[in-house]
Amino acid sequence: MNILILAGDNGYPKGTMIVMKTTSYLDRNYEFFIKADLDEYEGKYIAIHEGKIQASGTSLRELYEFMRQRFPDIIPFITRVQSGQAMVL
Amino acid sequence: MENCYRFEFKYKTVRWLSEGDQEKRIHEVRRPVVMVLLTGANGIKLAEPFLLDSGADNSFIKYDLAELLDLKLSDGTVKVKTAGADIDVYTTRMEIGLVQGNGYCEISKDAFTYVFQKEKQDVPNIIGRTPLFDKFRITFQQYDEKVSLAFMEKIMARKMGGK
Repeated sequence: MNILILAGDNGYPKGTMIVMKTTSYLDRNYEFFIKADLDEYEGKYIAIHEGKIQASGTSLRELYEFMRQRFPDIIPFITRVQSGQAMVL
Repeated sequence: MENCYRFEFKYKTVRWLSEGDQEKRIHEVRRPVVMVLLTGANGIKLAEPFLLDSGADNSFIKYDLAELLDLKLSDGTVKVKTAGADIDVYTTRMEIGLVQGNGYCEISKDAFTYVFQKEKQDVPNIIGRTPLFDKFRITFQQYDEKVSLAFMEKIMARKMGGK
């Protein structure tokens, strides 16, 4: 179960709660991403699911299509691994 | 007690090696990264870690992400000031929310967002003050290496003319 809280401006009163399909698996993906040493994937996109990297590559679209085919019922977690440098934005 | 929904995200540690004239050094930084759920104009949903940047006026995404989500970009580019130089970016609108566990909080169905040019790949997706800071009380906890975001109806009610 997933709880959706709406921020208003969408036809529903603000704060409306809607029950959705679970996305708790995203937590595991996020935990993996936070802890993982991703040096070897620098400059590449990675798709994470079930606590591991399922695929990597330079095309976001290809990775998305791969994840949609392999795991059709989930929201894919895909990110590009940045090069390690100090950032001032 | 405020009626809020709380999200808590850990910092992401990034390490890299620099090679100076005399020595090699390992650098380490921790960055606040939040889990964002994006919904494209084509219905595609994607979870992406975004750098939470309190110094950025707005949000920024990479070009190929905008392309995948089929977002309508501005015809031309606009200039945006950064610490390094002015950069040219497109503008767009997108549906964006925060997701964690079984909680999802819609931030905006129509968030104004800048899009980096295609060649600018080595940049993070950034979520800035607008639209996030209008809707959440945000606490950076550097020592604990986490950031918490509390969604508050009261803040929104005040902005909309309520108590």
